[in-house]
Amino acid sequence: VNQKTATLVPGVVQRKSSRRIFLRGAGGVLLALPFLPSLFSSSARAQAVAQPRRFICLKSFSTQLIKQWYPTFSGNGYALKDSKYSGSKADGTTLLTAPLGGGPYTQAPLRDFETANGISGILGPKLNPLLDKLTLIRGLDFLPSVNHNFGGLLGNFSSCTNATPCDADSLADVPTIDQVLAYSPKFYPDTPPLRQLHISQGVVDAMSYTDRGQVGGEVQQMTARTNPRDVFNDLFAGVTVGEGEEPPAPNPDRLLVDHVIEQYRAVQKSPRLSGDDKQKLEQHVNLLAELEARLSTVPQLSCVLPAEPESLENNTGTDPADIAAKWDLFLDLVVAALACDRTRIVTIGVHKALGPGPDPNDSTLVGHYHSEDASGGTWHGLAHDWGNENSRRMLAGINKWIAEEVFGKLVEKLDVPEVEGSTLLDSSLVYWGNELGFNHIAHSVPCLLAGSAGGYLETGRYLDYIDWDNQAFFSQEDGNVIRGIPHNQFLVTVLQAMGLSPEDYERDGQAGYGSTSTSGRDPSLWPVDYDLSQVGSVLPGIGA
Amino acid sequence: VCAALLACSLLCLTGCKTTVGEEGASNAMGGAPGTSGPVGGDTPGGVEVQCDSSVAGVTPLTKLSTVQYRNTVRDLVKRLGLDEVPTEIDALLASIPDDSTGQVFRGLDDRVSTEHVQGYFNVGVALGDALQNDAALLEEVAGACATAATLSDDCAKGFLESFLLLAFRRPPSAAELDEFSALNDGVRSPAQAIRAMVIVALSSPRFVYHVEIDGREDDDDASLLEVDPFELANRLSYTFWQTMPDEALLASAADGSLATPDGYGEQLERVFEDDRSSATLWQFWKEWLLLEKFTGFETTRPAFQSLTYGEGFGESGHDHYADMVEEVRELTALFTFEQKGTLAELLTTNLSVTSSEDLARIYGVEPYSGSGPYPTLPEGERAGLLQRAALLASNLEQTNPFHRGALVRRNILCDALPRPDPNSLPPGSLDPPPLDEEQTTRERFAAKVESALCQECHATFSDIGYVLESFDAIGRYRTVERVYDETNGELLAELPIDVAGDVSIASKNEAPVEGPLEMNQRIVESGKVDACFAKNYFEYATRRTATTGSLDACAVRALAEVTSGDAESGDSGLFTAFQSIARYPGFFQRKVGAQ
Repeated sequence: VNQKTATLVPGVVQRKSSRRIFLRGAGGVLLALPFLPSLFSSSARAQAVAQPRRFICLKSFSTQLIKQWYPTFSGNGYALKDSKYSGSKADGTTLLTAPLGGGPYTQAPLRDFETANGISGILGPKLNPLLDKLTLIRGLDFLPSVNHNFGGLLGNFSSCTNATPCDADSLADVPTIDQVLAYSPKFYPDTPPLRQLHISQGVVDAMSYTDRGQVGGEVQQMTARTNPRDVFNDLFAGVTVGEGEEPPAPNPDRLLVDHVIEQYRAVQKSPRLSGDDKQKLEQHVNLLAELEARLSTVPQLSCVLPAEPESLENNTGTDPADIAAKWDLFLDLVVAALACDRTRIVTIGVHKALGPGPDPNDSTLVGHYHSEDASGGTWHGLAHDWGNENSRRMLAGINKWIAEEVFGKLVEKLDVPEVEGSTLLDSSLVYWGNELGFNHIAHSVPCLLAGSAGGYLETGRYLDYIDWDNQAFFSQEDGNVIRGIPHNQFLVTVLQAMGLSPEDYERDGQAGYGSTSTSGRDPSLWPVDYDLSQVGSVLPGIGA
Repeated sequence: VCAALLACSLLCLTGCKTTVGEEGASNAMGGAPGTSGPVGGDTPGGVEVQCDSSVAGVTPLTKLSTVQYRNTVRDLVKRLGLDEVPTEIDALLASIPDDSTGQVFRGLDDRVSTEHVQGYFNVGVALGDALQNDAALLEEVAGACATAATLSDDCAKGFLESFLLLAFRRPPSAAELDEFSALNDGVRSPAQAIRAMVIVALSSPRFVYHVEIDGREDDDDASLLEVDPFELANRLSYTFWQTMPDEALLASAADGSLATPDGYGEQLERVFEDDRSSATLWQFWKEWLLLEKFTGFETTRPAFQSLTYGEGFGESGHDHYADMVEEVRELTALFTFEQKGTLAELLTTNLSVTSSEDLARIYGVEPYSGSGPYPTLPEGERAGLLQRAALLASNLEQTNPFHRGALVRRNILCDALPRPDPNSLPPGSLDPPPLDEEQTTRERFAAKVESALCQECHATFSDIGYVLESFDAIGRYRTVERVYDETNGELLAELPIDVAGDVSIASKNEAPVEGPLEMNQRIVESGKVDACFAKNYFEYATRRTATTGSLDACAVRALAEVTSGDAESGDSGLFTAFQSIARYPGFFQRKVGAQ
């Protein structure tokens, strides 16, 4: 065993930038599958196995400007919706005509809208090279009545967050779909080093809610890592680095975890603990079991260990240099995590971004922060001020920056060969979702995907799931409410794209995933008559 | 449809059941178990106290809060003989997730995540490595016998008895000694064995949780435990210090003196007088008054710059919000520890304790020089704690009367005020009314919520915010409102303000108030703020909510009495109230919940 870094302990890994890491599992089997192009060898390629699927979710917050998100392109055979509709339906976006999925829905190739300025106000030109691998979706509606939320885009539509605890009328928390995947033996045939990675800046609470794989157990909101050094340590601490092919021994400290678990079992036996107390300890034991698995490592691949980043403390400030530096570090770590197969699930809460300042004549980008309790920060204030043209300009600028500098950069970094003929991106599904649609309305929540999930999706398209012949309920600047398609069908699409079947995720005999309750919505103001007969099906026409 | 889409309100909601209460309800706060009645006098809203039990509410198993965990590790390291906490361990401690302020108090966030468990383990490894890799330190901690070729049973036992007494905050049981001794398996070297013991101990439930299962059972109720002396020592130290018991506390538990009234009183006094107690109480004020949630002044906005012209906002060397918060710290400490005043006195004081020139200028007073009498606030402008700048500050150049009113109604008076549900409302309901140079903020906000639907809730708190319009976005007193153009900061208008309001603090039948001074007096005289303070301090200190009908409710009632100075006998005031949480009978009990 090469023990050049044998003194490594979790949390204090030293950087070895150009070396390769070797991870060995309990079975002692080493799969020699190099990842990055620089490490490819012909013999290794010959041993290539099927790529695992990965799920990466980015989330942005508050008001989204519909006209800025979607093409407003005319010409080249396209006209605006205004040519066919009047009133709020004439919203200045492009009218699609090609049918989609046999329903009243429509689609178009994204390349048809490519211009030097990108395909829309927010989806700027830096995404142009990637258009063939993107999928833009319009018309995903959250059916339950929600305001600010953390887990809606991943299926937990409750209003319960750590900032806003549940009230009596709230839906019960359910696990978000990333957690359904995280504990699925189909998604993870073996215990992974890390079931998921949650990243954020500023806000610590993640979009993810978990029952830790215990169906019916308590559901808790998870927390995110906010310091790149912590992310690095989570992913690569304790990973031994070597230069030869000889695999290292498992971390001997894994044996100590058994002793710790025994202590929990001993306390758990006490009759002087309530059922809730014991459940709490049981959850802790589950986390210890995962810790043990991480220390034991699993049969994995070799890849390049990323540079250990400097420690950048979390803060609630808006320093542009701090924000940009952290995103750059986070994105590199995410790519390394997926390439090294340290985890296959990543969520990224984009609570901070750069964007234009208040002076329209000053092109200098400033920092923006969408805080957890939504009580302050420029971003949320701008979102509420959507009626103001200057605020809309700034909001669009923030989201364009996210599109190009967070989403776009991540996708670009992932689009490198993993095995012959397929990139890391091709095996993945990168999902940029949002908290809400326009204003505080969870209708037509914008959605942009990248990757085909191993060929599951037919990419390169703009899919519109609104039947524009339906009633328009109301409109505001940059948005209107016309019945689209339940977001639940998008959740089903993701779950099935990741390899799960309905029996793996459906609960209590209900088809699909997530609540479909429109309780509390006034039918004179909101569409409530959704066709739920297909709620357990994937989005029509989305498959390859 | 469009007619239904008229704007509603920023904090409006349907189904709001909040009312301010009926005239004539009792304000009585009887103290002894067996009595009942609403504290604050009004239902619904305020603090409900049904106090008719001699049994404490269920005490759930809780982890050490992240603050407690970090403090405990640092203290443990030092008690083991290290002069300083190694930077490596400090870095690992920082990686443990902070508890959330979502439920007002961080201590109520009892989640344990992957990051916690990994972090606990990593810290154990780092401390174990520190011992293993430093022979001198190892010898100091475990004795010279630990440097022998093999670790004898006696040597291992001696180390475990002293180490686990600190780590578990009580002497280890015989079974625990056996379990840990098994790590000295003859394969590990002595240093490796001790390292392994440290790692396991620092991830043990006895280290990372408050395990209280060793007390004596009540004769009639097996689920009711009298906490044993070591558990009591832990309750004292974690309640007031947020860390492990010191040597004297552990010794008093070991020799039995802590179980005697005199011995307990002596330790309580000693613990409470320690600086760590004042730090803990300051954290309470910060969390209760939401001082950690302010996200900063928007100093780059042209209108904000116009509003604060000449005040130094956003300039190097100036941190106005830090000054504002520091003033609250100094003021609460003054009335708690030095003047030993009541909450009412704190809430009505006109003393200015700030030494910040920036903040003093905002108030129109001289900075406090650090000695001699404190300056007093300009007469007729503001009063007490609640009208200090830290509680009035807005991010933007405009005030938000709804946020200010809701803070008072919800956090200071403890009246129920549900969060708005915009999906039950027409679109735009949550958007602030647009700027209008012909209307004051009050007029704009009032117009937004004039419908009967909005008034269901807004009638209970909007006027409180309107009265506070006497103070601008940085907490400066004013009689006119200056309206600035948001994009270029140009002064558009100067409008006279109306600060009278039907604030209905204790009753909806109250006469309106003429301004903030009268409203403050109404708040103080309602008694609701004492009850609300008591409820909040109970939750902060015990990390649970008081169970209706339990001894906890009696404690909240008694705390309110002591706080307000109404107690018939004995001391009263904030100092006594803070300390008295450790004197109520429930502090000595643990009630186990349903199996």
